[in-house]
Parts: sequence; structure tokens; C-alpha cells
Amino acid sequence: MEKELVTRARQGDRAALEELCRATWEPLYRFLYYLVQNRYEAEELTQETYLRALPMLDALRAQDGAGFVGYLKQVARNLVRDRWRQRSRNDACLPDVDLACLGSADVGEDPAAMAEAREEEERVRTALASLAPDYRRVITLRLLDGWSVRQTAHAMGRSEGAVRVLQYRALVALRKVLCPEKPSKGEGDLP
Amino acid sequence: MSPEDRLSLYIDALNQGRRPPSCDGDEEWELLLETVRRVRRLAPPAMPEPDFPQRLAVALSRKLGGRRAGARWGLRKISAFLGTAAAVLVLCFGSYGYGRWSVEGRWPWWPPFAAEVAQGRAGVEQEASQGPCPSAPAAGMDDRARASEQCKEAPLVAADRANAGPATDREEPAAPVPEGPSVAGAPAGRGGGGIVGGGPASGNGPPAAPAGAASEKTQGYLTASRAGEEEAHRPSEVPETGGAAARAPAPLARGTPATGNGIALLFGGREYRAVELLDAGALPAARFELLGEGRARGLPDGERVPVYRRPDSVPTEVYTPLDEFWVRWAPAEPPARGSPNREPR
Repeated sequence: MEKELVTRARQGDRAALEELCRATWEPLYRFLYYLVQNRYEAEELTQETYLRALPMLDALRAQDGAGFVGYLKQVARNLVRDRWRQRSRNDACLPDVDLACLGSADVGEDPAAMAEAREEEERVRTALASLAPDYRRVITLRLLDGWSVRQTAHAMGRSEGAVRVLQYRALVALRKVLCPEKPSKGEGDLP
Repeated sequence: MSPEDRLSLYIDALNQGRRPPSCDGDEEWELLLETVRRVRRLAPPAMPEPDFPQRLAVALSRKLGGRRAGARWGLRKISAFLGTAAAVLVLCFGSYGYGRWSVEGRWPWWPPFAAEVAQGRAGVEQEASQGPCPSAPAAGMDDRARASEQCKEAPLVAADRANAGPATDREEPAAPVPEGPSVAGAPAGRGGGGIVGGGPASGNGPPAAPAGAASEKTQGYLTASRAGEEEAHRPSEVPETGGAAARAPAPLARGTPATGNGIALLFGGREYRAVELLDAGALPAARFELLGEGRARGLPDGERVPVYRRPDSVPTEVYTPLDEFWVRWAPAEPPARGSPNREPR
């Protein structure tokens, strides 16, 4: 069914393309959002992934049972990797998370990968819990609740500038906890 | 901008679903951004607008269509280029082997020459309707292949040559071409009757600059000399008349001796016979030395032609220009024993 849709979509069938997008966009988007943590980028990458994947139907045929969504994720993974490499020109800047495992874990296809993703989540929660309360709070408000600097400053009773400095130091500290082997500039600046 | 402000802007962009600002930085900076993303993965993803699938389909449809159109346009451009290149190659080299207009470097489809080319083509068609090539090919071959394989060394078609430009247009020796009226009694028009198959079937040869004197003169030479050949082979059928006018016109063989062709050159008190017709392009200009002026017999009275010799050739032989050819002349009688011009053995 997917192959038929892909074939029709490649031939310019707008209805088939729409149906294909409706059937497959969400797992792809979630996967990409998981990687980039930005809605705009995730949407942009979703579209770019389709554009790169659709013309390569032969590669889809070569997939062994992964299906079109699996194939899309593989393409998306390569796209993200390319983008990060372009930014940093250094593989060391790639996330420590195994992208391949995350890709499968996101759709729940591979239990081992899912377990690894859960471990990663637990690692971050533990690292957060180990931070000083102000650090933990500013990170929670700004990153998990999505508050603005002004809202955060109001909630914490600090100036906006103080919140920016605080969140920077908090993240440096968190990075140090998550990757202890990497020295950082902000080391020793703990309040 | 301080790293605190940059990081704050990056987090704001993530929170608001905007494109994050350019965040190039060192490895430490990238690790910091990755830490931000890792924390944000704890939160549920921010889903796009409900109409995202429709917008996505529209955008994909437009972009995929554009890419397909681009690919088609690219293919079309490549095809057009290849077709044009092939046509140019065919036009440039397709008839080169027949010693046609490419020798002159003139373009037969250029408007000033087009009329002459059409005229020459009409002449060739007229000839083609009158008889087969003497060396008729096997059945089944097409005209072009026939002309190429069977008639390459066969007699030249007068009309074919009638399209040639004047000798002065060539890169080869700028020998003067004798001027004068047409051959008396020669068939009117290009390539008058009975001359078939000596050259290519198509008529897109080079046009003559003035479509008159030189070409018709060439035609006269050629028809007369070919007639002489036929006489030599069939003396009982064609009576010797001593002139070109009454003979069946036929071209002089290129690259082959043409004995008894009835054309003679009077030069230096000696009579010469036309032996061979040579392409001017095959003979370098520097090897000719002007000896003087001779008179051709069998051509209109008073036909004067410049006479040349080639130092690297047989000393007794002389050459005269004839449109885009050289005619090689040999003494009609062998020089007397002891003569300085005697041909070495």
C-alpha cells in the first residue's frame, strides 16, 4: 500500500502525496523533533526528508521490512547528521546519543532501542536533580515549561540579565554532569 | 554578543518554534546546545499546526513538480544541444569527402549562395535522370553509399564541379584562372548531359562566385576530356571530330590518366596532353613555379592559361589551374633522345 502510494506520489498524484504525508508525517516529525528540539527545524527537516526520500524508490525496495517510515527516518537521520556536521565541522560535537537507536525507539519498533532511550531520559533527569535548586528551576522553567526570560525572571524574582547568566551557568553545569570528561569554560563559576 | 545572550536567544527560538539563530561555535558551544536539546527531550514534542500535513503535501507537490520539470528541461536542453551538434557535424563533414564546398569554406545555405546552390542541385538532378553511373553498384545500396563507395575515384561530375568557387578563394595556390567564354558546343547549363554518377548525389556543393565563366569553362574541360576517353575505348562508335562540341560530354577522370582526351595545351612550342585532374587541396602551393602562359586547344580560341611546373615532379610535365583543380599535362610526344627535358627513366 505504501509503495503504491509512493509510486503514485512520485508520478505527481497530489492526492496520493497528501495521503502519504497524512499516514507518515507524525512519526517522522516526532523523530526529528526529538533530535532537534525545535518545531521550525523539525517541520523543515520533515519536508526535506520527503523531498530526498521520494525520488529514491529503489532504495525503499531494498529495505528489508522496515517500511517507508523506517526509510524516512534513515534519510532524516542522515539529514540531521549532515546539518550538525556543517555547523560544527567536527564529529565530536554530535550528540552522544546513538541516533540509530533513537530513530527506532521513537516509533517503538525496537525494544532495545526504546530501553536505551529511556536510559538516556533517566540520565538527564538524574543530572538535573543533581544541580543546585536555582539551576534546576531555571532549566525547568526555560527548557521544559518553555517560559520566556521575562516570565522566568518574574517567577524567580530576578532581572532578565540575571536569568540569562543563571541559565547559562546552569547548562554548563549540567553539561559537565552529563559529560564529565569534557572541560568547560564555565567550570568553577557555580554560585 | 555574550554567550549568555546567545544561549538565551537559542532557547527562545526553540521554545517559540522559530528557526534558531546561527549558532556556529566551538566544540564546547555545540555541546552546550546539545545539552539544551537533551533536556528538552524530556518534554513532550511541540506538534505543528493541524494543517501541517496538507501544507506539507502542497509544498512537496510543488517542489517535486519543479524538480521533475527541471529534469525534463535539462534533458530537453541536452537533446537540443546534441541534435544541433550532430546536424552541424553532418553539414560540415558529411560532404567533405566529396571535395565539395568545404574546400572553399563557403556555406551553401548562406543567402547569397543559395540560389547558385539550388541551380547546381537542379543540374545534378537533371544529370541523374539521364543515365547510371558507369561503375554501377550492387542493388540495395542507397544513393549516398553508392556515390561514396563506387564513385569516389570515378569521373567527376561536371555539374558538381561547376559549383566550385574560383581558385582565388582557396588557401592553396592563388593561381590565376583563365578567363574567357564558355566552351563552344558544350552543353548549356551545368553538367550538360550524359554525365552521371561521378560525384555525390546531393547537390549542395559550393557555389561559384560568379556562376559563369570559370565554372562553365571547367565543365567544358571536363566534358571534352571525358569524351576523349570514351573515344579511346570506343573508336568505332564515336567518330573523331577533333573538337569537344560534337562529343558526348563526360568528365575527366580524377587521379587516373586520361589519354586521348582531345584536349591539348600548347606551351613553349610543345603540345601537351591532359593526363590527370588533381584536387588543388592535395597540392601545396609552394611547390608550383610559374613558367609562363600557354594556350589550351579544344577550348575557346584564345584561351590562355598560366602554366606551372613542380620541381618535385616529372620535369617534362606542367600544370595549369582549372577552378579548384590542377590539370597535369604531359608532352604529347616523348622528347627526343638527348633532349634536356627528356623524362628520366
